[in-house]
Amino acid sequence: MSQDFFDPEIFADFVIEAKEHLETIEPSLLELEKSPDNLGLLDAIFRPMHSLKGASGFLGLNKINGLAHKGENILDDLRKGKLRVTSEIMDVILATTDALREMIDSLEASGLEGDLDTVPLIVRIDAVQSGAPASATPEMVPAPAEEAPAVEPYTLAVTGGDHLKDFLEEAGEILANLSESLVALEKDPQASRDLINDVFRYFHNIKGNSGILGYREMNALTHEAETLLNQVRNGAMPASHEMVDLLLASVDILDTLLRNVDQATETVKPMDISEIVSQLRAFGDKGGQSGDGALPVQAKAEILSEPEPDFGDDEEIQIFEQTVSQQFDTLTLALEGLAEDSDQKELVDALHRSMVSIQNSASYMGLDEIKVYAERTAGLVDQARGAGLDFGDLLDILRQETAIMKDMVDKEIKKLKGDKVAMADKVSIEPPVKPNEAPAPSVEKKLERTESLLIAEGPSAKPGTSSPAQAKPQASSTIRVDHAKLDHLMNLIGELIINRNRFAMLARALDEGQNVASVAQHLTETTYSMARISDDLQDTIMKVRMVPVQSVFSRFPRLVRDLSRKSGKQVELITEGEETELDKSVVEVIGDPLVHLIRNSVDHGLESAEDRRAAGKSEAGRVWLKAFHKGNSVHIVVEDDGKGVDPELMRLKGVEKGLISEEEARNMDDQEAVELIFAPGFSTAQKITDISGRGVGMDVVRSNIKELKGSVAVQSTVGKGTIFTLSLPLTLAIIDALMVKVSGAIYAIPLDAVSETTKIKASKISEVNRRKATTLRGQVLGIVELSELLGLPGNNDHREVLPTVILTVNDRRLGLVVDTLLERQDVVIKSLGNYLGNLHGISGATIMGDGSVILILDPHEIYKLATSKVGSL
Amino acid sequence: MAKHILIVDDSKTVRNLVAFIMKKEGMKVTTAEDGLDGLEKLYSAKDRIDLVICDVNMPRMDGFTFIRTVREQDVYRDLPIVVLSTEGQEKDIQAGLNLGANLYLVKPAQPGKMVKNVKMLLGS
Repeated sequence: MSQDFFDPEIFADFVIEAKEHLETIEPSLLELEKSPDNLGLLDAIFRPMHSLKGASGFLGLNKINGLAHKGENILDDLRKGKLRVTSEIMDVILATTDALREMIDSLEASGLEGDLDTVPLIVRIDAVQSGAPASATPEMVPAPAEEAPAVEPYTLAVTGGDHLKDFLEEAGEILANLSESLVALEKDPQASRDLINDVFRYFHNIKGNSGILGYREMNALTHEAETLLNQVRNGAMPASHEMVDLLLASVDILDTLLRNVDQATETVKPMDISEIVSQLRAFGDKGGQSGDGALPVQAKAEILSEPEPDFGDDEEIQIFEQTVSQQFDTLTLALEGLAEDSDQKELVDALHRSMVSIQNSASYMGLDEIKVYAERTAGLVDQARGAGLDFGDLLDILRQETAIMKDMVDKEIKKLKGDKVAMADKVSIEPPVKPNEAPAPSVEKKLERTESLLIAEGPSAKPGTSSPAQAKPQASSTIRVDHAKLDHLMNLIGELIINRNRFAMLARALDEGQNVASVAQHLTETTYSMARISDDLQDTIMKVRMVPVQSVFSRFPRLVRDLSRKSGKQVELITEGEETELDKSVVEVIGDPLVHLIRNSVDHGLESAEDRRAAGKSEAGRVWLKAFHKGNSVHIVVEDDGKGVDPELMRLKGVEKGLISEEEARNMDDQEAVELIFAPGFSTAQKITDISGRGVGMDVVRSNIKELKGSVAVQSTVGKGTIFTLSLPLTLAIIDALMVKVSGAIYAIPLDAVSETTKIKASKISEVNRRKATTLRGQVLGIVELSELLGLPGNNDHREVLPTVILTVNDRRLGLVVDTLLERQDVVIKSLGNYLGNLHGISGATIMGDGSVILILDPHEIYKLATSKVGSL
Repeated sequence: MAKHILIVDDSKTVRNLVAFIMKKEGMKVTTAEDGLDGLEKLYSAKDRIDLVICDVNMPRMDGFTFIRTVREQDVYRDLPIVVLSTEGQEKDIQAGLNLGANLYLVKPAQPGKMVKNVKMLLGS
């Protein structure tokens, strides 16, 4: 050993590096033993051995170098294929690495390679290398599959008792037919197309049937054969002798595969078909030119493995998605075709079928909104084709409807994918099949909806001829609702269900006799949550029902034009606030009252052109139509710049028509006189015209608005004009109310009519013109006992201080004396039944938490009762 | 009343298998072995056919010709037809849909999935 220039530091570094190399080599060796053909592993072992040899040689470590060199040689032989990985060779290599490690450890400990004798190991390595047969070639390396242990049989996916039997019998018949057909094809390569199609179909059917069973080898082999034959069918390849040979060989293997099936256990033994599959594929890739030598051998065939069927919720969603996707593709194709030629009946029929398919599959999935929408659109197509319409005129509508349906479907699919639990719930409670009687009414419904759709399209198609009569059905047929609002509603309903469950838990806790204080706390929290949900639900539903007032205002320009022409006056209509939103049911009812008010302005309010000129006004009269929100109400104003209402004239007419006495007329202030315009049978027009009739409009206006829990106010200045203001509630069904007690009973007063509550000293009340009154902050306030108005027993106790509710009705105030002021409360308005008839002063009823019934006062009628009764005293 | 399904396929295994599945779902089944046989059975059915399941590659009359012939008659213009196609052939799919198939399934269609497709088209 030559270590003349020993340097401890260099050797220390070598030891570290050498150990790292060995640590790399050994795991790879163990892995190589398991995967003998993995050439990458051999490279991973060779490189560190090579480095170890180089480093040790450089340092003059001759024993390590010699052994590492031998190890390198044997690994190189393995890489080049001269040697094959065997257990014996693995033993030699592992012994080599063991010896190398021992010498390196010795080097680390003592600076010397140690006394290990490496000669026997080197001799052993030489023997292994020289013992390999010299005639070995790469082509002779056997496939690793032969050494692999046999694979276990696998089970076929059989459906029904006779499925496998049918398959085996038919496949046997097909193979017999195939042999005959292929022999015939070989005799006449230019055979008829029918013969080629027969051969293709035979392979095709076996492929399909084996695919259903999950018989992988048979499915893969027939797939390749089918692909090859498809090239023959397409004319890309002739049916050559070599091809027929290949196909006949395939039939033989298919026959073997068929015999591999164990019918009793429905299992099959796996079989290696890689050779024949590769040959078929290679033949197809070469375009039919047979090679001179053997075909290349591939290690593994790509066998189609059918995934296990999953019939859960995901599957159903996927099926639905696939189904509707194909329908929309068809709709797109059909609409494009009809755009080029709108007379193609088969495309119209395709439209109808696709829409019905969307309707039915949505119905199956429980998506009722989509079902109804598709049903309506399909009905439209059906009606149009039945009437022989030219579909060119309908294309834009149908494109729009298709796009809307697609949006709806896409959203639902997203939701379904994100909410599989809900889908499972739906599936589990799938409704039973509808009886046959059901189709009849649905057909009628369908026609009705279709007519509605056609009517709705009418005004937009011919705007010049639109009229209020047509607008009404349009307004009432549908509401386009923002999806966000509907989503919010669904979310609230979900919360409602959660809260219901919480109440159920609380009830159970009480039954079990749990701690009452704890349960009461949870009950309070749950009640609070329910209040929040119901408030939110109310707000959202109200918003859903809101529509812009523009849908009503849009009728009036035409009305004003007609009125001005008939009356001979020039009228200009100005609208403001058309985007203000109203409840849909209010919009439907408010049209007629507004018509009357506008008629009144044009007929009674506006002067003729000559009168206006004389008064220094523009010849054209102006009518304003305004809408805006104010507090808890929507206000709609009809204003004109006409002559105004003359209070003195109203008084005269009132007496003249017997509506009021002369004494009453003298006591009226101007505002009260003007309001006589709302009295039944009143009319002040000098001429009774056919446009405004005999003055029946105004009382109808007031009663219609009252039905909506609204009010009508009028202000007028002689010579300047008149303003009618309709006040309508935003919320129809729920109001804030002040609860009061009078004569032992409780009543609700709508809070929007209450300006304040106070206590009035009895000594401050005085009588003025036979009315009780007091001064409140410098203003005179009329006082009346509520019990007196309602015909209830009065409070006979002498009271120093009187609880009083100050009502404000049409900007006029009234003090209402009650027995007790109670709390403020939200109440739900219920209508009074027919059996109660019309009660003066009462607008409805409500039900309290304890089940008692409370009457709701009508502030306007209360005010009227107060003034009229005082007058009659 | 049970839905009536007509199965048109030249493979006995497919006919028997699909018939088995549909009957298990409470439907009535008629089978035909090619397009011509299918037309004959469609025309002569005493109980009206509610839906057709039809292969493409069949002797005597293929699926496309069968569908075209059916759709030419107004009485069958709305009859749902499900086509069992060869996988991934776009041209065939286009031809099938244009000629009036309601739905196109790629072979090998899983039996359980096919039942759901049929139920969706029938709206049950």
